[in-house]
Amino acid sequence: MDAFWIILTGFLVASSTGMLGNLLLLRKMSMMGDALSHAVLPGIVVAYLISGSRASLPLFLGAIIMGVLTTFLIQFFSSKGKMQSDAAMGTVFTFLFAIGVIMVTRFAGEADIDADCVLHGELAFVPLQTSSFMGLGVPSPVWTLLVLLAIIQFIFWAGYKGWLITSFNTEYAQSIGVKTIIWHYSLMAATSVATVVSFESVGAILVISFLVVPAATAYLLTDRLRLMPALIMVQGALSAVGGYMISEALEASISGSMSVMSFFLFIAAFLWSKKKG
Amino acid sequence: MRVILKTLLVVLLFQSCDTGTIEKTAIPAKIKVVCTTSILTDWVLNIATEDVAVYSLLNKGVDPHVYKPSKKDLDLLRSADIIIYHGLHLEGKIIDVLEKIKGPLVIDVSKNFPKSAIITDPNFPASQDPHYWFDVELVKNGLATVQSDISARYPSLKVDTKANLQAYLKKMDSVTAEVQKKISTIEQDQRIIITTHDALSYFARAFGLTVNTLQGASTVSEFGLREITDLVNFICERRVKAIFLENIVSPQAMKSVQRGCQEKGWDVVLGPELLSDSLGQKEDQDTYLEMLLFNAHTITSYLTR
Amino acid sequence: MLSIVLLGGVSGAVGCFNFLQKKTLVGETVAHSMLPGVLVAFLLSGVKNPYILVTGAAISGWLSILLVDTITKHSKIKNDSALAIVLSSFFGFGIVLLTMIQSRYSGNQSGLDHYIFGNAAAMSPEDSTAFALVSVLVVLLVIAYYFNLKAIIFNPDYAQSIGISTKKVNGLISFITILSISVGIKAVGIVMMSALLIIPPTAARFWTSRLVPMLLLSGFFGAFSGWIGAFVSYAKTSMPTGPWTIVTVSCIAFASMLFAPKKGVVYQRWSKLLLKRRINEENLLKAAVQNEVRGKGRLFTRESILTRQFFEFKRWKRTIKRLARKKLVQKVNTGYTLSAKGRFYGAEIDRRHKIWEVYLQRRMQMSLHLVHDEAETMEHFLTPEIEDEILGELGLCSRFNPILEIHELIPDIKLP
Repeated sequence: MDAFWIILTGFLVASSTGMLGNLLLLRKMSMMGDALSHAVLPGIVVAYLISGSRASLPLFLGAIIMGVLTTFLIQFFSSKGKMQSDAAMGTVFTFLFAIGVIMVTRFAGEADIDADCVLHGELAFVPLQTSSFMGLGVPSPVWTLLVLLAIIQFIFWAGYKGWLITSFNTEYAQSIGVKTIIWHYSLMAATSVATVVSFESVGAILVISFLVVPAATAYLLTDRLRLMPALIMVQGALSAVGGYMISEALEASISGSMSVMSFFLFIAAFLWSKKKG
Repeated sequence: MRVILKTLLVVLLFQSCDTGTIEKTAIPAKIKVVCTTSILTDWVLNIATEDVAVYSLLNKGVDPHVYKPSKKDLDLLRSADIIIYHGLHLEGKIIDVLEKIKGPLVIDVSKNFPKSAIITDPNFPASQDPHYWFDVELVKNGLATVQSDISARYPSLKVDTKANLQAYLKKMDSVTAEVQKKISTIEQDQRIIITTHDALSYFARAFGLTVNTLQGASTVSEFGLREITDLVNFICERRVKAIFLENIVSPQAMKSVQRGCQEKGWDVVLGPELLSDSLGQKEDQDTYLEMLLFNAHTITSYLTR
Repeated sequence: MLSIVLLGGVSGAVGCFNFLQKKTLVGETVAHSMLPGVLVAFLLSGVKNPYILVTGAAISGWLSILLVDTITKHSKIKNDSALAIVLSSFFGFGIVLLTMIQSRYSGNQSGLDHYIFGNAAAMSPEDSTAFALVSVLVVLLVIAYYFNLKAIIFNPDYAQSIGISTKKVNGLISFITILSISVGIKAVGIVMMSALLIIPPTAARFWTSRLVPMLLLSGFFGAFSGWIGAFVSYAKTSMPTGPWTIVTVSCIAFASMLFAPKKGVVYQRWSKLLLKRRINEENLLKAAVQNEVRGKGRLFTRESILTRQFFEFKRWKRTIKRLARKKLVQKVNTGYTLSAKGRFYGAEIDRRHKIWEVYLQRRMQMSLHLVHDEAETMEHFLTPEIEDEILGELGLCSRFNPILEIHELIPDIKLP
């Protein structure tokens, strides 16, 4: 049963973050997961200083707020400030991380408050966190991620046309009066919340990987936005199952194995697309 | 191509490793206890009776900060009857997970510690230094907690564990006496431990030393040039004979401190690794009591040269 | 201290090449990809020797860049996505290795990552020598291959057509990147190294588009920030060197983004504002002139020119004040009059308006009732040179009387 929960969790993370990752990929912001994992540090530190404890909830909220702020800053610098989008991401997150380290050193030197210690969850321990909700014995991270997936699916399909236009042809969208800026910022908000929530449930490695690799795989296999979610889900499912099996065989980290499996699938798609010409 | 290379590498590794270096007693047991760190495991082994098997999540020498669990660890926790952890936030977020597990008895070793005994940053009372295992009084308190909680859940073990605990405490007392004796051979003004990060505060407090370090207890906080300069000046002024490395931190920082001192004309010696966050691997370092002795011995011999 | 300055300088320069190829975040990827390399080196050698570990790290870092380039070359995946994919996959693989080691060998692998990810405050003389060597090497290579680098980055098709091998040049860029990162990471850690590769070029980009100034400026920003970082770290307690360097260079980047001429945000906003003001002023003058011509007399107020040009009250006040300051209008008791300069200026605008109307009508066959609105915009942007050209094209004399209305000018034009 544990295996089932772990694989399901992996699949849920892949499907939700992957959908958003899809849109990020088209905007050249695939590194967002890695950037966020570093940038949330100041948020955590501030939350720690305000709350005076290392209890999870305030730190988690601090991370969420910081995450949204980060993505907004990145979007702002890249659109209004006219920074190259990958440079905007790099500048913002390293800057915020540096601020975070300075704050930790100055104000909280005694406590261990890096993100890995206080925010990031662990995929392997998900089955242990059974929640009493509905009395079904479903682990609470699974409930969280299910809700997250539902919300993201809704955002994606309800705004499908908007996503389509603003991702593939921004100038055209602007010319016909679509407020592209709102779409961009909405995506940023959604991404940061989804990412931080996923960090809290399963840790950083898996999220960073699933944000981009399934989407990239789908991108190699089709040009049509409508088909990508399905492909992402399939890739996510296969990565979760395959990754789990690898981790069993090697007695290794489950998150890491799923990342590696996802990568193998990507390479397969890469080779296939290359052959296709 | 790369895929093939990687797979080969992985297969090779799999072949070349031997299995079964997980810490456990060979006695087939009814009651399964899982401890988080190697230090904790060692303590519990000393209290445990024949009906108890003790397992460790982290092996010796593994840095608790970079611990990444695998399915094996999950199985271990799943099948555990008792789970014991350090507390004071040493294990980080994992504590939330452990506390939520339904079924086994989960024990926080630090739960009965008197607040006044916990070392905190004077500027920030909420940040507690988790390296309490060097303060034997706290250890005794913690082990008493463990013993009483286990006895409460498994009354059949009460008598034997109590006896084991008493015996172990006696051993601890004699070791601490020895440590104290050793330390007192160091000159008063040489009783300073200098390492990279703040893991030995409790040790210092317990045995009459002081600690001066570069970083706080967090591995995220970074030291700057001012810290290095201040420490170098401190060492040269007090003419401290030796500074020490730690077994899970890079030597880069201490080496640069040493260089700074040498430039100022004071030839401070760079001592070997002290055991701070986990037990060592060698024969004479792999139990808690040996860890205390080893640290004491090393510190003393280098500071009395 | 010198080492940090050098590191900042070299990273700033090397970062430019990656920035211009939209591979700015290569530092992150390479740094995370080094983990498996370190672990494999450790497994194969069995010891924690820093040099062996760094070599392992460099090799896996190198592999990661190769992989990124292969992916982008042979598929539609772009650079930033390829970087993210390789980062997460290599790092994931590293974690797999780490946990495999954790469960088999009881320990002794701990702190491996600490061996290669250092702290800027604790750099050793070996690090400094390494930097110095690397800096010299990088500078020499860049100078030697300058032409090829420039061609491939700015004009790949041209470069290929004259026989420069993209592969070799990309290989060179990768080489100097890996070199800098390997040496830099050991001294200052992942995030700091990434930051030095990313931020200085980002800042420099706001000032110039040309390669040499960008390299120099970026190098300077990096070096300067390193110096400030070291200084702050030395002067005050609890101010870690690396992070302060990053903060400094980020501030430089933010300032550049706002204030740099031409590309800066503040500059652009300011230019837009100035343009708006000019348009308002010109419209006002033109309306006043037109009033005069129609025999409404020289005195005008906001109300009297209302039919020609609408000004809402606040805008009127501001514009007229500015015109008065520029001596283009004069205040009299009940209103304003144009000065001679003002009249001339206003007439110019009016003339340009008419010229454009004629042009649109004659050359573009635009219908009469549309030309006015078009000309309302264009009148502000026609320069004397364009004027002359158009007049030449239309076959009109360049000194015709601007005060006449258009149908007085060209008799055979039909009015709406």
